Amino acid sequence: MPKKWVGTSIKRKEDESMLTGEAVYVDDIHLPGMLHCAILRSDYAHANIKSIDVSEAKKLPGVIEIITGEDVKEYPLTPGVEKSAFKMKSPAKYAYPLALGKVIYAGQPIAAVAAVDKYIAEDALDLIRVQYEPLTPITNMEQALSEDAPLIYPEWEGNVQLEIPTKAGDVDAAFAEADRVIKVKIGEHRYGSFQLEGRAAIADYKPRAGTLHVWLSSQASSAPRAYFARTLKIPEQKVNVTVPCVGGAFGTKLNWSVETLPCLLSMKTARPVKYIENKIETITIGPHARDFVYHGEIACKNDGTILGIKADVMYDAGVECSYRGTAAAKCLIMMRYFLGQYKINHYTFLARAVVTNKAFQCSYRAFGKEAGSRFAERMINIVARELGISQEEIRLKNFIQPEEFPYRTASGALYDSGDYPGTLKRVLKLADIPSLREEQARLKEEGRYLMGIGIASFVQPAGAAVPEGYLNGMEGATLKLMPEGGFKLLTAHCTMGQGIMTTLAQVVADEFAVTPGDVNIIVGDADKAPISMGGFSSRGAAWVVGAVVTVSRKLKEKVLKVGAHMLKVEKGEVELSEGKVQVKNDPSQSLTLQELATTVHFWPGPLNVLPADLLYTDPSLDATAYWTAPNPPVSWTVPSNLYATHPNGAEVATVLIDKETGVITVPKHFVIYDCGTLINPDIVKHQYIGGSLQGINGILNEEICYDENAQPTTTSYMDYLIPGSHEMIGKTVFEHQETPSPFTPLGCKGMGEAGTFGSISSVMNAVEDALGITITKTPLKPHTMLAYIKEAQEKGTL
Amino acid sequence: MHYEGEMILDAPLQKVWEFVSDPRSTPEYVPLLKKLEIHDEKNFTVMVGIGVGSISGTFKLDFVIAEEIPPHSCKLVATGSGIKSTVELEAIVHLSEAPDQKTSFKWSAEAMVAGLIAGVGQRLLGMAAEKTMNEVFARMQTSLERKDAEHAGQAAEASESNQAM
Repeated sequence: MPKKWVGTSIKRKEDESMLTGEAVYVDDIHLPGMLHCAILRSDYAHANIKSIDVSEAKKLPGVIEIITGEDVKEYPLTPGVEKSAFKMKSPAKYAYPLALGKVIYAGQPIAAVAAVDKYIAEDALDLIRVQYEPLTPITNMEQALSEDAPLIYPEWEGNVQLEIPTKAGDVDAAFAEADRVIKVKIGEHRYGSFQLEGRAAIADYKPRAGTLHVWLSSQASSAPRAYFARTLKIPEQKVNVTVPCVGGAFGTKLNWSVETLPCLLSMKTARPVKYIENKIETITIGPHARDFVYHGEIACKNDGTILGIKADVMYDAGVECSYRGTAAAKCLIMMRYFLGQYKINHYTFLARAVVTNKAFQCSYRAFGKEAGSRFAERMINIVARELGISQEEIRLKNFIQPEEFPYRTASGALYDSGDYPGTLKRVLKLADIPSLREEQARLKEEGRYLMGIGIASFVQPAGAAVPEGYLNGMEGATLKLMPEGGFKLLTAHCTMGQGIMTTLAQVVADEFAVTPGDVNIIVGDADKAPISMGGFSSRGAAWVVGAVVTVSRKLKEKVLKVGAHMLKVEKGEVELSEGKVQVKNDPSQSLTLQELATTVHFWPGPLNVLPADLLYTDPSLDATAYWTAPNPPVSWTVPSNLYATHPNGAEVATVLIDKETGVITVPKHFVIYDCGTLINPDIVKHQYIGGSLQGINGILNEEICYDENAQPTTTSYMDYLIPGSHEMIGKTVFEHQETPSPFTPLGCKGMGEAGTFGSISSVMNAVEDALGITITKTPLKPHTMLAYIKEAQEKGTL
Repeated sequence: MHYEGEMILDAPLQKVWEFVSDPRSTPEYVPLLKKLEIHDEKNFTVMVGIGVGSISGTFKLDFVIAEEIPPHSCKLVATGSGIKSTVELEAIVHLSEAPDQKTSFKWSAEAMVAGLIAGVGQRLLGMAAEKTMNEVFARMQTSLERKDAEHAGQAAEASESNQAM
């Protein structure tokens, strides 16, 4: 039997290149005559610009071009999501690559310089004089919603960009039937991913040919090609986007507004222009994520059955949440997934995106779905504690059952498959809850540490197709059987750490009974491959694998047909085995793929080899195919399903809180994760663990802070605490569960964002378990924890 | 942001006033002063080196002497930019006589800082301001003493030449 590669943890093919410095990132690319771009950013969060004087800066030797808002009036930014889709107010008037007359957040680009080196470009920024007339900045949602709040967009009546009320079932009846109504407030602060590689782009405009080629650090290549074409008014057939290796993205590289600046400078100078973001820009501009607060009333029975919910979410989107980031729409996802894994059929829900003078937002492991999950997983624990029942029991009481899949939630999502009670029971056993409780009691006796045990059981929507926008549902791939017998897979998908150079090769290898080494993956070049929406929303394993399987099967049909013709048997009589086409009952009659391909292409060539119907219609050994999910989203309106698959997982985390210092550590983390059919189990496991660390450190230590003038005050890693060795999770015990999705060809579900779903909830639930009180303020930094410990002592819950 | 402080300078009030109210003396006591341009009696511009935390560079500040009550107080208003930052400053100086022919120098400043310095160095600004002001006063004291000495020297020279005549 040929070896199955799908399901095998082979080593990642891409790592050696990356670890030895051989891999090429945007900054490694040098073009002849290339200029370097630096961006002058707004000092103020909210101000009118009275004047900009670039005359002195232009005199600096080595400065070639400087552009300001006046130069980009013809190039308004293109929205990521069409505003008409869900009655979102448009900030179009303010959406230009450079500020026009007014700035609305600290760090907004005001001018861009192109110079012969990056030092001169940076020096030139200091010579540009900007006269501001400061306006009152809005620093938080409360202020934004107050009656006398200044308007960030004066055309709007207020500072709310999006307000959507929804409901399901009969919430009044549910509340009338309830034994208890429990109030919850669940929120999270603003933080971000800040990967090693910040934003990076090289634009090369050739005025005579009229072409623009952009090398871009991005999560997609097809979408930015269309974006640049439309924004810069260049026909798309003359634009290409190449995405080399990407040093991390996590959702932040799905908007390309700043990257239009090197393009515009290249168009002005007719020279290639490189822009590499510096670390201060990365941290202050982000885009950031989170910063939401849910208020909810939960109607429940005394036995823990949840009957209905009245809730709302307020989301502090910062500015420009449709033209720069695409964040306002996030609160619709927060609404769609606030029910988690639970059967709750009656609710009212109000989603609101509020604008403030903070930097714009985008996704960060994930796009509001993680926030929805947080509400479900925190709410259920708070209710359990109020009712005096266990975290385990309340979940088991309210779960959607395995036989109910595919399950349409009251909020419109279509959950494909899973076994929520089974997954939870497995993780409880894995963690050995009774022994953890014993350890907790012993530590309590000893007195120094408070131990907490937290459970989370989450559903993780994966594989979005975003209606009415650049991130819609269309995924193509091309596969070539090369004359020498190997395969080239061409996809415009991008590699940014997911391990796709390995996993996609495993998928093709299984389809053709070859090895992953026989398959080379060409990624990230919009012009080399059919349209791909790129890597976001954990969509690779659903959409890209869907396209790769489809194209493999299409090409396989052709290869078998040619092979049978060459072996002079019927097509049904041949099969693929170990790199050969062979006759099923007689392996002695076979052709290697190399013999087949070489024969067709060169010796003697197609004329005497291909069956007549192929020869004159489709003589190649290439195929191109597209895949789209069978459960496609049709609109933003409820009920509509936005995600192809819905992986799930269950976690137990333990925390130790040092009573004297308030420092939290996470010594143990137990996970059962189900993302359907596994392609490479170790890649899934390690992405999950990495994401968990991001999630846990985010909730414990990371925070983007602004002062009373909306000036960002966390602008370096001295103030913004990224995880170091001390913040690592002590021990992770991770096991897989496989419930295939009925909606994807191999049953795979996307998993890239999973780590931030359960980890944050299980850690917060563990902290509450340790203290016996409800936590509403994050991050859980030592001084915050000391205050909570005091509160718990006063309430006598310790 | 608000800053304030007080120092005693070992020189009589009138002398201190003459010294500090004349922009031409700024090179003597402002550390890292790179350039001084005096436009008229009320307006002058300085280019000054600034270092806060990990950032350093040159700031260009346009000063206006907004109010003056000789020899007791003056108010300076400045706007400036540099190092990817903008500052608006209002500073008030009060001089009064202190015992032993000394002068009390009280100052207070309201600063609105925006941009890189606000982001990176806000927590360090207080310390940086204090350190800078200490250096300013030390230099003022030295300058005042040197002027005294020069004055004394000139006086001695003058009297010597008088005697010679």
